[in-house]
Parts: sequence; C-alpha cells; structure tokens
Amino acid sequence: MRKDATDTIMKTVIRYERRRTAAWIMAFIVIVGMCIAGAVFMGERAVTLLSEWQVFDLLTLFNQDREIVFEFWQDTLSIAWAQAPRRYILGGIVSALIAVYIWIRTRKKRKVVTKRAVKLAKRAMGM
Amino acid sequence: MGKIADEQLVRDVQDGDIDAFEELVRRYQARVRSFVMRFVRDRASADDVVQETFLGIYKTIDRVKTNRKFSVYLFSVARNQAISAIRKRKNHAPLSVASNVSDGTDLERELEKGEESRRVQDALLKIDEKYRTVITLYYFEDVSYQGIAKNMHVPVNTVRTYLRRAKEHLKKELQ
Repeated sequence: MRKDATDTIMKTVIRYERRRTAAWIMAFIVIVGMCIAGAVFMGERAVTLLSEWQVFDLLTLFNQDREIVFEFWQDTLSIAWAQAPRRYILGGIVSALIAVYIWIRTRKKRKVVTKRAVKLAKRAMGM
Repeated sequence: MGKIADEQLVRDVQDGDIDAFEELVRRYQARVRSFVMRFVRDRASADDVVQETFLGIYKTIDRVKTNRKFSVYLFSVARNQAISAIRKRKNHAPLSVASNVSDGTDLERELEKGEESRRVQDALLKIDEKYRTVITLYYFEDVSYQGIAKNMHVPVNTVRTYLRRAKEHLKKELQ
C-alpha cells in the first residue's frame, strides 16, 4: 500500500504557518501601534506646549474681521510656527504618516494573513 | 466537479487558503516520494526529504509563478533537497552490478522487472547526478523533454543529449 504522508506534511506546514502568522500579526501590531502611540504622544505634547506658550492666543486673529485676517494671516502663522514646538509637530505627523503608509501597503497582506488565521483557527477547532 | 488545476491551487494558497496546499500535497506526495527514493534510497530519508520539499515550497509559495507548471517546480525542489540530503549523508556506497541493458528503448520495461529494477536503480546511483535526474524524470515521472528542460534550466536539445548519454552511462554501469 502506498504511504500517505499528507497528514504528517500538513502538520509541519501548519506548525510553521501558525508561527509565521503569529509573528506577522505581532510585528504588525507592534510597529503600527508604536507609530500611532508616537503620533498621539507627540500630538499631545505639541498641544500642551502650544497652550503653555500661549501660541493659540495668536490664532485668535482669525476671529477678527476679514480685512484684518486677510492682511495679517501670513505674519501671524509664521510667528505661530516659529514659536510652535516644531519637533513634536513634525514627529507626530511623520509617525501618523508611517502608520497610514504601513496600513495601506499591507492591505493585501492583511487580507491573506486574516484568511490564513481563520483557516488555522478552523483547523485547531477541528472544523 | 472537475479537478482544480495545480496552478489555481497555488494561487489559492498564495491568497491564504491552506486547504489548497493540502490538496497539492495529497496530489503529489506519493510521486515526489518515489522520485526522491531514486536518489536517497532509504525510506526514512525519503520521508524527510519529501517533508522538507513541501515545507520549502510552502515557505516560498508567494514566489511561485502560476504561469508555469507547478509540478516542474516541485520536482526541481525535490531534486535539490534530495541532493542536499545525499551530500549531508555522504552516502556513496560502492555497488558492483553486472547486467545487460540491451537498448535504451527497453529501459522502461527493464525497470519494471523486480530484481532487474533494483540493479538498474543501483546503477542509477553511480552515474552522474544530471544524468540520473534526466532518467528519473523522463522514465519514472513521465516528465516531458520540455518539463525536464525547465526543471534543469537547460535547452531541450541538451536534455536529449543528457538522456542519450545517461543511457550509455547506465548501460556501462550495468555491464
């Protein structure tokens, strides 16, 4: 009788796939999570410093009449930008952009990994 | 319902369907095993090589081109795994067999005979690796000249030459 090694081979494959899928999901969560956490942290720091340094007060100009806003908006914004904690703002934007980029780039991969994870779960449950 | 093509199954695996890979394993494991047996000649090693082959295929499944014949790729990986296994084992057992193979065209019939088959297999182990591959793929796995050419990355005419020389070498070994 011919030996059917399908089950043995599949066990090895499943073991490998389980590790690979788990590693991918973990790596994805950690990287995207770090980017989001970084963006939130830097955004929060930037807002706090903007309030402490009263940079928001400069922006009250935009509550004025249209002529005044039209005449001074560029100067106001450049002063506000000069006083703003730029490192935190740029850092926050970059972190957020990286998170969005990873999210978009891994769209197909996420779909595949999700499908694999579902298949693995079904097998684990014996379905 | 008709049988799903190998290439479609590969696409399904690439899309995350593990069950499709199981179907591929079911379809080919026996053939790969008998193919590998011609190289390693012991069941335990053959089983390991088959497992390594399928695992290797699975690991690199995203890179498998679905516009090419899957079986050619599979046997090519199996061959490489078998050769690695032989190298690891450094199994070069000397064999002295004397026999006659009258003509290359009779080879297939000769292989089907029990004792004769064993002698030919022993002789196969003594000939050059590329000749052994050609003989194994052509006579045992029914792979076409084109398939062997793809598998070995050589032109079709080279396959013909290899096959002719392989038969000559085999004949010499059997004498």
